[in-house]
Amino acid sequence: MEPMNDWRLRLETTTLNPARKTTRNYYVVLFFLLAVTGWGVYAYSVQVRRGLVVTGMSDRISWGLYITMFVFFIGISHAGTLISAILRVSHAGWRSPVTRMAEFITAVALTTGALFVIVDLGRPDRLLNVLEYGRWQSPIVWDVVAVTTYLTASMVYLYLPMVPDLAFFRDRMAPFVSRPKHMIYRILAINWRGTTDQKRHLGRAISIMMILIIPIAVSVHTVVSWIFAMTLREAWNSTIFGFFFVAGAIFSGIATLIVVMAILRRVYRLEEYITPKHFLYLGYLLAAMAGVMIYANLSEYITAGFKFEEGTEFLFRQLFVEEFAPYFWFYFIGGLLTPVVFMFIRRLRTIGGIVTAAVFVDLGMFVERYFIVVTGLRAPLLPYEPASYTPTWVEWSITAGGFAFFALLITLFVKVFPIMAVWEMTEEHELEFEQMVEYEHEFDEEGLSATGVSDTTQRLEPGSPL
Amino acid sequence: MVAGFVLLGSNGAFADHWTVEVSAPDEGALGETIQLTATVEDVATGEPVEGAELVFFSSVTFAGVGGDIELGEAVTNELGVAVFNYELRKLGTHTITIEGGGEPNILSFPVTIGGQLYRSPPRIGLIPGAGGWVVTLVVAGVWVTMIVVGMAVIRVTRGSRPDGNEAEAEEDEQERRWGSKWLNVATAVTAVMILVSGGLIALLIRSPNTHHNHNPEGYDRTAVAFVEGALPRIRPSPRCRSRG
Repeated sequence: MEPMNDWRLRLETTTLNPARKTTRNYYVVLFFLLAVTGWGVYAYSVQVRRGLVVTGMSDRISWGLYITMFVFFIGISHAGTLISAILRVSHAGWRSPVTRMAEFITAVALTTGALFVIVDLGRPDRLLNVLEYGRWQSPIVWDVVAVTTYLTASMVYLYLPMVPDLAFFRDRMAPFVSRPKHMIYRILAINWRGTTDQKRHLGRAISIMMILIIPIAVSVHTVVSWIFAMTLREAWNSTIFGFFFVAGAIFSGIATLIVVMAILRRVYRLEEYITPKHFLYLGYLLAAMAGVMIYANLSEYITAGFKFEEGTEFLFRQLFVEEFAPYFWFYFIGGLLTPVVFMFIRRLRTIGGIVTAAVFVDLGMFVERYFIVVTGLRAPLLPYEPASYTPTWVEWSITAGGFAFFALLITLFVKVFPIMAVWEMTEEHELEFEQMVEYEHEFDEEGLSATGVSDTTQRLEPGSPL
Repeated sequence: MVAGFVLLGSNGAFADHWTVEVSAPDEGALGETIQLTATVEDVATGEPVEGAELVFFSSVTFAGVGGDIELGEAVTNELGVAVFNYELRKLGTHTITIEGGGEPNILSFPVTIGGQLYRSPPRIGLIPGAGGWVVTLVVAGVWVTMIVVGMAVIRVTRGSRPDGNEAEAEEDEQERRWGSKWLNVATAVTAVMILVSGGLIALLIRSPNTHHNHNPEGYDRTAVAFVEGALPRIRPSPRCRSRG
């Protein structure tokens, strides 16, 4: 059996490496992301100067790509909640190598998503109107309250389990980083020494947050859905929109986590820690959530189609057979059925297969957010011709800038902060190690009594099935 | 707001054998239901006509198209009086047309009123106890819990008690002193959380007063009014007389 110290040393080195070494490729990627983000900022400056007239939005279809981005990013922010909080609450030991990634996806996605609300306003100063004239009866105010709460909670929840790892960086990174950067570690480590008192207080704080953040996350996507469902529009006239959006958020959150996990695993050589098992388990979760989404879709459309109230025909036509049919069927087949099929067929149940399914899910969910927003507004409320919406270069540029900004924040995060929860992984491994030793001890004793042999020749390796 | 209510128009004959007198209150408040009274008498005998059916229309223009909306019907009593309840729903001149007895005679008069017509229906407020205070309490509860977490993290910063090692104790003390010179993240984050939560709760608590029509003192808007009842139905063609 490999000594515990060797394993820990290797883990520490692996975790320190991204912050310690910077490759040329990193700078290339960084430059590319900065350039795309910069282009997005330029497009936004055009919009601020000339107004929303530079977009494809109008009085009839007043929401488009920006709100799609908002809903999509708020959705994938649920990765952290599900993987980290729910799995932590349920003591799922396999989660520890991926929790940090899930948590920073949450914080980064929320930051990006929240920015798109401001972008959609046209004039950013109008945000102050929410504070000045906001009323609790308004779904917009619910959104502001919920998103602010969730953003704060997810930042805290990202930070708390990271404190011991920041202390580890503080202690180990001094020779490798600049003085200001080391000072950041020192400040963020809040004098962590790993004493019994500190562990008790921190453990209590994490326990509270991991429970609290689950209802907060659910509330966030519920009120995001209510922005639509509280509006008198045929496509949004649904009682299950809250559930539908929460399920979709978790679904796309898992998919994004799988994709980010695969990229970081490959780039930073985390194969020892992020194993096929993690992809498999997350793949199963993805397929399960796909099942939930299929059910929610069927429930939604069958009930509406059965009653077939005025306006439903127009909605169904544009969604299933006319303008938006390619989007809908891509979402349904590519986004919802693909993960189920990939997880069902053994040959496709590989890391590559699961990542492919996750990419389809992310694309499908983005498209779904798009057609939910646009088809709802497109259906005329008066006997007019249906309005049309085509995003302009400004919208596409800002959207691309948004995706680049999301990737940029992740790229910067992994450069500065520990990408894996070293202390949690060590604790898990120690537990596993102790169980293994205990098992070996029992095996030795049983072996002695059963066979009379004084020593066993077979030793279990770490990771062997217990 | 109480607006002046002017009844113009010319009373006249509905048909060769009927005369009609129309009256309405001198003034009415916006949102109020006023009574339009029509007294029908037989021309020949001067006796009131009982059971005469009068139909009330309002002339409207929308999107460049004009026409009459049927408001409702009223039947005269034994005194020949028909009372029609009319809800004041809009600003400007109201033109009410009355038709009776199947005769083509029409009587029109304009009504001038002023003010604003709006009142939010109770909606979720119909649930006993539902209101902004529930939302405020939930949000406050969540934030108080997060602040408790912040306090626990502050204790992490301060509560370092190295487990029995003098050298570590000294090192810890030095680190603690160093930390106090610089930004204490735990305290800063907790302070920010207190500020943000205060802002959000203030937003929720003051929200009934952010729209000044709910707080009219010193604000030049009319009182809130509400008109209940079914919407008037558009009179179907061909009786709809287009003026557009």
